[in-house]
Amino acid sequence: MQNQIKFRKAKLGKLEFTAFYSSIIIIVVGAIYWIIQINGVLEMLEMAYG
Amino acid sequence: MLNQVLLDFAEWLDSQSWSSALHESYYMYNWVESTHVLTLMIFLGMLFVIDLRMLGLTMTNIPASIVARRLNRPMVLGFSVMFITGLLLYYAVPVRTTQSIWFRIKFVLLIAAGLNAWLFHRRMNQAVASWDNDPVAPKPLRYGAALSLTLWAGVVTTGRLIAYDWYDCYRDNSELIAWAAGCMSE
Amino acid sequence: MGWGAVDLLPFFEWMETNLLGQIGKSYGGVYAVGQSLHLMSLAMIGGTVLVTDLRLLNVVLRDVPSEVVVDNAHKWFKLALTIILATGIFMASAVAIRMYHNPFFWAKMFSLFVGIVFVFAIKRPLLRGKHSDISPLVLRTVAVASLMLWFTVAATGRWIGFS
Repeated sequence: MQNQIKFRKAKLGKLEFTAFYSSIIIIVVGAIYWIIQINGVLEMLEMAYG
Repeated sequence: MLNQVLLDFAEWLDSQSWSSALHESYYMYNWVESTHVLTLMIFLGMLFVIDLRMLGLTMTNIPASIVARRLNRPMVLGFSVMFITGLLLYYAVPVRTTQSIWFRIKFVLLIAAGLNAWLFHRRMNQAVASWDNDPVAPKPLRYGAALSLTLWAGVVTTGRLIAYDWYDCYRDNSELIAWAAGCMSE
Repeated sequence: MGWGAVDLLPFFEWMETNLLGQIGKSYGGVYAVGQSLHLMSLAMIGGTVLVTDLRLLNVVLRDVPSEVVVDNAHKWFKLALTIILATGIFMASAVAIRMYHNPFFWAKMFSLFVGIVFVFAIKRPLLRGKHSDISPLVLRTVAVASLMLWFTVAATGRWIGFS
């Protein structure tokens, strides 16, 4: 019983770990992607209207 | 008569410099259009959840009024953004849109959806205590929810179709379509 | 474009010439209905993702157990995802070669792929049990990542039409 709970906790811990770090990667990559996109648009606007 | 008034109004809008500026600005127009479409995820998304709860298809163990009231604010927020960006889109292309049969159908469906929502809310608030915890809402409200889903599906479809020029006034349309689109003889 | 040495162009050429692509090309009405269904499933995905993630962030439905919200939303999410994939394949096949050369199409496919893996391999297994066992920081980070991902899928998708 005790062991089972421990096992479940460990499994959840591993899942939490994976979920946390993959989420951080997604957020960082997403932010970089959108910053680049928005910068590109701003540059185009500047080229068009000065 | 009405068509002439609408067309005059559209031409007046069209003559304003802001209207053509928005229409001709690649980024601004696309940005407004994207916001209009993507806000579907907020407005229609919340509406779907509320209507599905009324139909007994989701979160049946949660009181219906809680789902409806808690999600009302994001839904109204989404609707406001869609409404404002929708007005801007009309402002950018007023003449063609005024004579678009799809836009006209969409407008009628929007009014119907608004009326339906008003009736729905009145009925819901009248007697919510008696059925709030039931997995399914009473019959009239279920019809209301189903009608709401149908009307909004129509609004989305006709909205999407505005982009197509199949029945634009410059085409050889049947009399019925030309009449419904409000095409004026030049 | 493609992965390494594998060039996917022949596949896209085939997509455009097969029956599905031909139907989409020839019948504007059928194509428009596909687009409309695509948009409605977009709304459904938006609704289920927002309800789930905003609940995890304690923004909406705070007085409803998050397990109930998440489980119910996931069922409809799966249905909407099925419809949006089916209509998306239909729409893309009619203009497959143009899609192949469109960078936003690839950005969308990549984020969609990451999104599906994230939901079914990470988010769903994590949220299946009691949420009180999970660290609130992890729940919030997962919610923000999910919002970011699905917004990117939708926004890059919308931008395909403009470029």
